[in-house]
Amino acid sequence: MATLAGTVPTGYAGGRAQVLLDWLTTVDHKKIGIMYVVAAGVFGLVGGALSLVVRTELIETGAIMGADTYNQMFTMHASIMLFLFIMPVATGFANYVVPLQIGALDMAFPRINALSLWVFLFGGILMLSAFAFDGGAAAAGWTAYPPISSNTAGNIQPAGVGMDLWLVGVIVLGVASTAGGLNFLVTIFKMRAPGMTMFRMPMFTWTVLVTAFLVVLATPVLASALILLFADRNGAGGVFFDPATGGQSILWQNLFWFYSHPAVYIMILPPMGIVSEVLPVFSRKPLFGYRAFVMATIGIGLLSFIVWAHHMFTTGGVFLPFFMASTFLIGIPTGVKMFNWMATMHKGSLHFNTAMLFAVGFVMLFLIGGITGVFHAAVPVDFALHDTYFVVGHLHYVLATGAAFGIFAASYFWFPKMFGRFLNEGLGKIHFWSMFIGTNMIFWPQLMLGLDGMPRRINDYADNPGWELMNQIATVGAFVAMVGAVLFLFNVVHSIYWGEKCEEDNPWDAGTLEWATTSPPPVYNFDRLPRVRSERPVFDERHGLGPYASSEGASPPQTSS
Amino acid sequence: MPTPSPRRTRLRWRIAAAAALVGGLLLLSAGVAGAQAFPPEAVSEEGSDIRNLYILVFFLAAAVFIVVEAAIIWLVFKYRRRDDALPPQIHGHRGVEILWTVIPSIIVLVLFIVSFIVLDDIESAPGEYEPVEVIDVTAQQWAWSFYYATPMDATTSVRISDDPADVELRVSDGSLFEPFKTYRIDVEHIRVDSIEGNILTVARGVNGTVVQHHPAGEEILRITNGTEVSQDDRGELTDSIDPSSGAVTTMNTPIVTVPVGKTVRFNISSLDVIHSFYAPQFLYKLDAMPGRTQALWLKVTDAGFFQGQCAEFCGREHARMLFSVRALPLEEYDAWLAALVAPPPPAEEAAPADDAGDDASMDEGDAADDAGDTDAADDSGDAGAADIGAGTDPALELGTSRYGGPAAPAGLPTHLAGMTAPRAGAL
Repeated sequence: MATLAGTVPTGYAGGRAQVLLDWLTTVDHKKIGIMYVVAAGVFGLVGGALSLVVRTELIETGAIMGADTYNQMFTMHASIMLFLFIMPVATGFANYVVPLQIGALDMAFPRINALSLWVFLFGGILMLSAFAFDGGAAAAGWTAYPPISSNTAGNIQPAGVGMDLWLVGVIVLGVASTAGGLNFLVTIFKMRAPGMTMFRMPMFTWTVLVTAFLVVLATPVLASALILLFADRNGAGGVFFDPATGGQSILWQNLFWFYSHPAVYIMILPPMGIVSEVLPVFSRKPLFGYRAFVMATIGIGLLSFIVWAHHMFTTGGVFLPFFMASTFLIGIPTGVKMFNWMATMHKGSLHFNTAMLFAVGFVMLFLIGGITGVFHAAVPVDFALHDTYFVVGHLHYVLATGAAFGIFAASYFWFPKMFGRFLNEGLGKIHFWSMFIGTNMIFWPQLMLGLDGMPRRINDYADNPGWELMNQIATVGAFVAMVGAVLFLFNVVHSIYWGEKCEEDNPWDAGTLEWATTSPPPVYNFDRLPRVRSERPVFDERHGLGPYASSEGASPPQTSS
Repeated sequence: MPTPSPRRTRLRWRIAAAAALVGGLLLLSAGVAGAQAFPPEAVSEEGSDIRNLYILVFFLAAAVFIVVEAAIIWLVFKYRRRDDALPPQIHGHRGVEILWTVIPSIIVLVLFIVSFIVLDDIESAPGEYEPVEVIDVTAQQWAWSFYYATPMDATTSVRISDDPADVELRVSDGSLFEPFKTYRIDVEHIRVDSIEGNILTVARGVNGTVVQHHPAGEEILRITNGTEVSQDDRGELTDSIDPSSGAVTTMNTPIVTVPVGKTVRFNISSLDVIHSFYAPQFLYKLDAMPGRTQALWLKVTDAGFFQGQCAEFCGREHARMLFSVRALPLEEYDAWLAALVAPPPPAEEAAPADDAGDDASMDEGDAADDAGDTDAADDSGDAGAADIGAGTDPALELGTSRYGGPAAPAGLPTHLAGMTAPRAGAL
């Protein structure tokens, strides 16, 4: 904690209790951001541990644990990873970085910002507390399809408060993220530094802006669905979603996916923004096609609201051609982004530290997630592949090697800004390679298992030729990846205290405003703001480029890391 | 900091090692992908269409994958940092950006059109006069029931239930059935001509009529064409023979028997939660939704045994909700079904006396007796069915094979045997 206190600049007296109290009562976006990231990281570790339990169960035919336990494991693995890890960790980085990137003192509503954090923590603990109760946690899958999730009688699903705690937990988390989303919208629209026009905003800020729109527009739909389901379970007797009492189970799917498809982009857009920050910096080039990239981001945001039913192609309750067309359309802006990233590297001067490795790893592996998505967009192919392990492989290539790789890139990239010390590069490289190899070992065999017809969410499988081997490769891969994650955790803790010191404001020779202040920044963020005349003012000013060409000579002093 | 040259050499070596690793991984994945890059061979017309579409998508995807990944790896090595000079600051290029917006658009458009054609093809119902075999598929936690329809006259009386209390049948809006009205129930139209006791006389619309067990006051959700035969055909089948080793596999899963070369309409529904009717070699699945009946059209092209499994998470025993598909040549299928429908042999006639009269549907209570016919017809000794017929669990009376669940006995050899029944030729 002593070093964490170092982020608080001067005039700070008091012991550990004082430091703790300061963190608990802070409204500083930087501290809130760090707490978000740390809390989400801890949740992520729990979610990762649950995935190991799942993988262990599948290492061979025959059940090791009871199905009730297994169902809780995969339900809570997904719920934790989505609601308590990927979304809040991205929110955490956004909290820390966005006000700095737009040259603001803080978020627009600092107290609401603090409220979001503590409400998020409360919701997460609420959801996880279910493990302590009789009957355990929710076991209906993170999609919570009724009538399984709406049943309380215990005849079709084990009775218990787990499902109710899950519902209330997600509602509470929704409150936190909606408040956060509104806060980001106001902050980004109203708090930008002079000269920071919309088209000079850093790409990460752009993705956070679009994400905030998605959060604010989609989350209330989920919240209402969750409240209806809660009512179904507690008094209404299933009138909304249980066909046995006159409800419509497919209604839930429509409401749920109307939120949860945008949620996929809520999870992947900020990591895309991170990669769009990291790649240019370590290529020493601007992001190729900035405006096209902004348009692609907005396009993905808009399309995300008209593709939800592609999760429901096999329900028989969907107008297939429309959702097939809209889903295919997503491929176009995504393709544009892929090409822009590659063109950013083209003719660059690429430096491969860990942040860059994770960014390039993101581009390489997210591609697989995107391509396997095309298979699902083609409805007839989805008839074959839906609800098989092919979907599991696809979504993990998007979220585990996509979103999570982006988050790791962000960690290595912004760590010196946050703590004034670097993460250890040697450990970082091991972390990257164990993740890169481990995740591919998990998810590539899963694509093949899905092609061969292995359904998802089963705790035991038939002894079909090859299935056991593929599952074993995946299980070993899960442990390989977990070694990397644990190393990363150690690296973070170690580097906060003993990492190599970062004395410079701008160790990476980056371009955006967060690098124009000290590492870590003072409470009020900036002593002076550079004039913002391009989308990477710090780099352009330093090297006398673009609008800054007249004010400085060419070929400035070099830095390298 | 300028980099000294020994360090540079070490860096190069490291980069080369990394390259070898990435390349090796990609090669490995390509090699592994060769083992299983495609779904299993399809055994139905629709499945073949889907598989062909898959192959098209696969080759497009593989081309994009290889080109893009190769390009990234090339970029990584070609442009790694050699000196501290500032590279050219390129902000964009309208021409190439338009190009790489247009190219994916074209690919996507082509894929949409082809997919749409295939979708239209496999989803379309057969022509009005094409003979169709109707099989009801009812899913429940955690079992499959298969009901077969047999031909009937245009107007037929159908016994609903032997229980006099069970006559109060309701349609979807909650009202009682009334004579001389036409009801649309899911995909079917029926006209109720008269109600007498628990016998409905109905006229068919498209095809189908009312059958089965319906507790009093419950709405009818599912109807099949003609006299219905519930098949509880499970256990001790020895027909699954591995062609290479000649090993005989026992399959203790519920079996749906289908004809080869004749369109089958599966009427799929669920009694409790959402399930999904999925056989990998059909390359096709449709969810079994509670409260709705949905049709899946299939024309099976290959005779044989195929494995099927519930694909939508449905609770505790989801992993064990297996079934098998037995595809018989049409003549064999017809003979099999005729034997299944045939009245019981004289020795047993006394038992199901209540079933006499009308073109009555097979009653659930008769499941055990019917199982005797089944045995005679297709050589499957069926001890399990006899147990079920006398079962106390109402769900079991549907003539299903049910495994697991709260009411099921502990230690479930049935499903475990099914679990270990491998599908030949996988991976």
